[in-house]
Amino acid sequence: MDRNLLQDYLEPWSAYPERVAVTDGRRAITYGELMESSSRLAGLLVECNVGRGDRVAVCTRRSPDYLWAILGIIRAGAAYVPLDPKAPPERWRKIVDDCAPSALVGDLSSIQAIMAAGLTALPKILLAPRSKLHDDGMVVAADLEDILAAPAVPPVCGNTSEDLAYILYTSGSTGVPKGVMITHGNVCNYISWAVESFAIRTEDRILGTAPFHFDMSTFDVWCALKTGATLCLADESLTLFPERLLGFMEAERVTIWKGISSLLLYLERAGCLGPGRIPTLNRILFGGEALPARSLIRWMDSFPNKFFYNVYGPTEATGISLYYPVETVPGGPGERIPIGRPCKGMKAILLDEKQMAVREGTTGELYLAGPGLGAGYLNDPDRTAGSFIPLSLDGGSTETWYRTGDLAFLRPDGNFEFVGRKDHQVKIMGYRIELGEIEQALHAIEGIREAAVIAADRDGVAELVAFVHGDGAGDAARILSGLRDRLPGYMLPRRLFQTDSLPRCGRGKIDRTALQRLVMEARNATG
Amino acid sequence: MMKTIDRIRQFIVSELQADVGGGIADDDSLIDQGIIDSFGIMALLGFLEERFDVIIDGDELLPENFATLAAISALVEKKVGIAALD
Repeated sequence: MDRNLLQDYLEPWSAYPERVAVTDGRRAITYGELMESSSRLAGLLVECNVGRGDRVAVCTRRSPDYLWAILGIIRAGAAYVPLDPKAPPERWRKIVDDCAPSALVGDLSSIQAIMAAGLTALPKILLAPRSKLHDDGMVVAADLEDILAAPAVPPVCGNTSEDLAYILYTSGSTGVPKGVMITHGNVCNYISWAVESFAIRTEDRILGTAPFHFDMSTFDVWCALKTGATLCLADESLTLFPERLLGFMEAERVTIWKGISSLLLYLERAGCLGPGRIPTLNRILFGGEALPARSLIRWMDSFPNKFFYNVYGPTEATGISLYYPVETVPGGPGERIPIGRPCKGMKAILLDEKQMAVREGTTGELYLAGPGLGAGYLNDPDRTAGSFIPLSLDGGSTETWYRTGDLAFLRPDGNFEFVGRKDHQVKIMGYRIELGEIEQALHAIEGIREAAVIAADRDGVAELVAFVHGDGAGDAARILSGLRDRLPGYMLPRRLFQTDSLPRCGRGKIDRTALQRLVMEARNATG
Repeated sequence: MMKTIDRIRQFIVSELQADVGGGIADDDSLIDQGIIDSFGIMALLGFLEERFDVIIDGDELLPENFATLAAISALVEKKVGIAALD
């Protein structure tokens, strides 16, 4: 079926213009306002010759404005590219160079930061009055007044289901972020499934804790827009303080939450879970990384009447690809929580290095197929061909499979269990990080000849540790400042070791097990 | 002996890799300036609990207790004092 996001989504809104679409607890935007503002933004973009096949970057803090910004872009027929407002300028530059957006839509602080970083050539649309810019020399193509004066565009766009809806950038091993292309059809399929499977309704209040440049937010935003529910955006500072976050959840009476496992772990460790708390919340989805069973047991014991789901899915396959409704409390703290079975329409198989099916019960690499599979990586046909592979299994017809790089095995009960990564990718606070990207950034710093980065376990939480060798390897402050210019905060190593040389295996590859041992020894020596 | 506040300062600068140009003053706003973010708070808690042998309870994880170095230090010293009385 040829579907685009707007045909499916905007039609019903006229029935409830007064209903709140999104709030951050301070400011709320109704569906009527969302319809009006997004249609004028689309009008302005069309006047600026933005249309189908184009890309528009969007950069805002966690604010309700993000919703009408992306809707305006979609209504103009273009794809949106969320930028992390906290990322270093170098990363913005790489993304802008790669996706060549026709314009940038942003709020005051983001636009000012981006202009100060020297990205001046890109036409900018400011979601605030021009007069608020603190530097008179800053020029924007249009501001809020221009948007409100623009002609409203009828809420039907001419996109097909194959047109791009958004591009999300994830860490790339060669040092350049990869742009994952997701189509209208991908989002429509995913959200329809999610709404049905988690019984999301108009009355629901969805808690949003995921940053907009992170694929977990697709669920939050589009499930709300699909059903007429309310998205309750938690400010990032709330996620630092468990009691405050719980207070926000209670004040906003949230009913469903898809959060990263590390945030659930943090709330549990802070000891603020207990019967009677967050009474309206009844569905909790967690993913992005493995949640220790010990933590899940505490959650389930505290809230025996809430439903818990372990969800799994790479950005390349849009959202959730496999899920596991946790029906019984795990038997012990060492138990691994399965990632479950494929969602409706999706398929999962385990293959070996030769792309042959592995024997039942043995570990293999997880491959995914189905309508969630995105359109590959922007401007990178080689990488796309290496990850999205046409295969004919059992002599049947050929189908494209996405090679996840994740290792898993199939349990006798039909549920998949995640084992680990095949390559040097790690997850820190739910973010996918290619260790190679950090190593490349280290190599780019003068005076560093060799560098290796590993993820070491510290009290059950992974942390990044870097090893460097070279004339300039002793100047930690300079190295860190160099990294900060190139990488977002979550990719910065927590520890830096200077070594005379890096340990190597027989064939010359860096011996990462030896590096893990060095970290352990250093910890024991100082502990 | 190094003062509590300086130990905490040292940890934040060296381990949280915060971008703090000229260092962190006792009353700099750690949250508003993004010196402590969701990635850093867990590491900081682990450090405080391990280094000062205290347990920070969930109801003490409040912005007012973590807003500045002075606030964190006061919280830790209060807890160390209570521990000594026990």
